[in-house]
Amino acid sequence: MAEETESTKTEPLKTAEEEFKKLEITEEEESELKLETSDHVTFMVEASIAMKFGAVQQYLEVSPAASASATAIPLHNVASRELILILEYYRMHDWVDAGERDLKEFDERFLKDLNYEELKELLLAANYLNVEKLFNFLTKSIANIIRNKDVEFVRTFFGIDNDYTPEEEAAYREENAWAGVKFV
Amino acid sequence: MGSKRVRASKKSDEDKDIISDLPEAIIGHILSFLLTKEAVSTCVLSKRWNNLWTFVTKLHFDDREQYRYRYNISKSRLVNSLYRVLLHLNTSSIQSFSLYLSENYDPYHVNRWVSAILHRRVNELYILSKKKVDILTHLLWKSQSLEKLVLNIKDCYIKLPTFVSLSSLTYLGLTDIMFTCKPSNDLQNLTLNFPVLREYRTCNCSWSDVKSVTLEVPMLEVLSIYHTQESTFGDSRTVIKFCAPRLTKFYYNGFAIPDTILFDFDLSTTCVAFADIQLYRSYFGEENDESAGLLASELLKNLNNNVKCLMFQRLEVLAFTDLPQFRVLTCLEIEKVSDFLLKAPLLKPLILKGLLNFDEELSNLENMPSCFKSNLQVLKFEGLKGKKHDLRFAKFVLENAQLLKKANFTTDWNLSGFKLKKVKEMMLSFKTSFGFTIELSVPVL
Repeated sequence: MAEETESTKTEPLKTAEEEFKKLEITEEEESELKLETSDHVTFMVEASIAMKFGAVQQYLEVSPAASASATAIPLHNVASRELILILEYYRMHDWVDAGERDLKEFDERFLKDLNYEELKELLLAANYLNVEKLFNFLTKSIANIIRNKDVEFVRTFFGIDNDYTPEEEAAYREENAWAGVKFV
Repeated sequence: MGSKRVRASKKSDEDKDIISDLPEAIIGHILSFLLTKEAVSTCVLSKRWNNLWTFVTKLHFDDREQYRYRYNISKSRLVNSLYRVLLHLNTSSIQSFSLYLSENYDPYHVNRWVSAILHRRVNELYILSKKKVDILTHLLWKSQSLEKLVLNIKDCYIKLPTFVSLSSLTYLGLTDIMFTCKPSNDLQNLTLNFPVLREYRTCNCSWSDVKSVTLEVPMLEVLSIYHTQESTFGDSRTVIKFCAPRLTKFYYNGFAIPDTILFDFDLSTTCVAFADIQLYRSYFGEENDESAGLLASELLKNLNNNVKCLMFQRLEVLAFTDLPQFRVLTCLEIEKVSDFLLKAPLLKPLILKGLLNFDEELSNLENMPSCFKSNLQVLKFEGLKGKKHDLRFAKFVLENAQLLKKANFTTDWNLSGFKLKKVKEMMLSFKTSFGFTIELSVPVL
């Protein structure tokens, strides 16, 4: 009985200590940057993540004052929907405790949850923001869809309209046989 | 494949093209992940795709692919396709070019491709060939855009100009390359200038008809030389000098070479954190051990004032030479106890793999290595055979190393039964100073 009260007593103390530690760490953490998307939503983003965006880096090089001031850094070609996704991706990949397997699982789910319109918008946003890691991940994933597939599959998958006449197409297949490509 | 088809048809419900109107540069980036011939094949998708593949920034050619997918393409097809791709490319600068050749190709073609790609300011160049191809193009040694160069070409013969400068190169990896200089009556002195090179790795590379090679590598951090094939030495002996004030890791692994390797360090600033020297036993008998000894002692003489952590194998090759003093060495892993201990006063951990000999006169306190008295903290002894000199050494260290905190002995695997028991008893009977731990373990078979 006595033991029980003892343990219940120490527990809140311990959690308070942990909370305090957490606070300490966040206090030590660097500043945040204010980003404004094309649909006029502002985001407070950890500087360590925002500085991975080439576009943000470039902006700060031109006007270094923006890092300290309250003015938001405008991202003209990125909507809030895309920025949320980009931040989700970077926060996961920035997380120290994430193991290789966690990241792989995360990447797979991240990709699966996107419909093609979203994927395309995200790709354009990543390209504009110059976020290398995400851009490479997305482009590589699309390349993997095309790899080792026949022409019809790729057309159907991406909804590409074949505007060649059958004669033209046959001629192109013939002409490009030099590449040793299988056009099944 | 079947499930993918289902997914594909489901996704095209809206019948809206979701990829074709992406900017050309993005499509080029996507296609750069594919083998180049596969990127080219997208030209039949639609009129828009007719020349989108020309925006690729990376080129990959691999002639093994034809077997894997049973494409029936001949060598001439690969040759033709390389020329056509290089001709049609739209991108002004190419990020990487990788070529894997498993068949014999006319060196004329290979050199033409390399020249063409260098003209496009390629950043990374990888050439692997299972068959002999000599790389003759001099452009390769003048490129200001190359950042990474990897050549792995069987029996490749490369003639270098006397002055080489690659101003952007950060990584150089060479395998099976024989370097020589332009023919002349006199032996040549070469200067290779790589101002931003960080990593230099060679495997089975050699120099012929070259008197000396000076590598100006002010930023070099990692230097690794492998010789996994024992060459029958010719007369040619080249002096290879590395001016590498920022070197932190050095590896020499394999058979001895007749060349001399020198370092030009700035003694006050350079600190080689780690050196690993592993010499193989020669197939050609004892005489070749002499050249191994020469090489090893030259290397050690060059490194002695700068190396902090040293791994060394086959100490017996050093029998021919005097060891220098190791002023800053703090960590050592060697096979056998030797003069090394006398030369390294700052040694803290010591890892020994077997003891060859430990004379009674060495256990004389006057001859005691100074590191025992002042610094040694951890001793790991592997392969304790229980012979007299083993035990004498163990007793000596345990009784005299004043700062020793931990000693770990592993007995030799063929020591067992009564003998093992006796060795254990002996070990535990040694008088030890203060409270430190002795671990005695038997290897698990």
